[in-house]
Amino acid sequence: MQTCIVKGFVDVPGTKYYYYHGMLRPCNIQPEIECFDKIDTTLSKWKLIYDDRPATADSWKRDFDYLLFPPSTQSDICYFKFPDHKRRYYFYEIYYVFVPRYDPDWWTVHWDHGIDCCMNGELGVTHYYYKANYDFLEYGEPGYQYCIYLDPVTLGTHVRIWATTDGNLPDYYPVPINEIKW
Amino acid sequence: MKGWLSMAKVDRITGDNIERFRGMVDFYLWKGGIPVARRWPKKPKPPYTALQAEAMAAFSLTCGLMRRVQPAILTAWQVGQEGKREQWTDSFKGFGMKYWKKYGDLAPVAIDYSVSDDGDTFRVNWTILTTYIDGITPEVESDFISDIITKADLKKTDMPVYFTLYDDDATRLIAPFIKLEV
Repeated sequence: MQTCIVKGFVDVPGTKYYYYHGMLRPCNIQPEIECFDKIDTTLSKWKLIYDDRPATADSWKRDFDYLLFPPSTQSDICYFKFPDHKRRYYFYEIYYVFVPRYDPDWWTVHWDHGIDCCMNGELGVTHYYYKANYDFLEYGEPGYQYCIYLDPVTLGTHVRIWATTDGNLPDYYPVPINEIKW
Repeated sequence: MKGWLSMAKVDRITGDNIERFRGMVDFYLWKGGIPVARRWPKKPKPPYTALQAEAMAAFSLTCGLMRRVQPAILTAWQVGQEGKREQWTDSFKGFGMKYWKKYGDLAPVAIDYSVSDDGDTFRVNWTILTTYIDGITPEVESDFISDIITKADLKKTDMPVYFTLYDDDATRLIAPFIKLEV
């Protein structure tokens, strides 16, 4: 597959000439513009698994099914291990919206930090927080298998989780790695 | 009207003429304003040939795929057709039937896209829906990603830049021209 880049005015129709009652007449057709560049386009090595827009609540968590995340070659050294004893990469993107419920109020956002067998997190009082990065999932007992925890959560928040397609960490990310509060 | 002509101008169209020639001659306003007469359109009647039946199936299934297009791609289709007589649905079906004519199967459809911007470079992420005319092979929804595209090359022009999707044989897949803000 190829992503074709064109430079030109694709909204300007092309012209083809037809004979109509013996007269040569122009006819508008789809423009045919040569590709300026053809970029190889291949199967992505990341697969979007969860795409959530939680409703307003005091807290929210994203449970995950570990079977949707292929195992890496790294051994899981945590006390609570995945059944096959292999670590699993995941990529998370959190666009977090905060509206104080009372005064004073603050927010906390947590994500699985499997390399240290725990969750990592951030807290603050800003209206918005954005974080996108990759990490390892942390195995939990059934019923406690979640990778993202938000407290509180406000409508407008958007959380996306990707898995690798083969367990290996690709050399690119679904969205650029970033972290900002504003 | 000579046998080899498919359409001819007439002075005016009257209700009397429309009724008198119904089923033999079709009167209408060509391009919205020029009164013309043409042979009454003949739709193929059953029993259809195998090719006619397959073409009808391909057309019908391709039409059904329009509902699967996500908002981002739908907007790109609609914006791209503004000011043109042809609607985006005509282009959609046209690309689908050209692909079927060449390969004998349904065209892959770009149902979603996003652009990952890393500052000096970017990549295009596509979600492609592949369906099959046999009615047995299950559909596949896959994420594809382009190789890195350098912005510097694209900035050296005053013309707008768009991208779309082709297969490796330079056949256009069902994807609109999407404007790239460089």
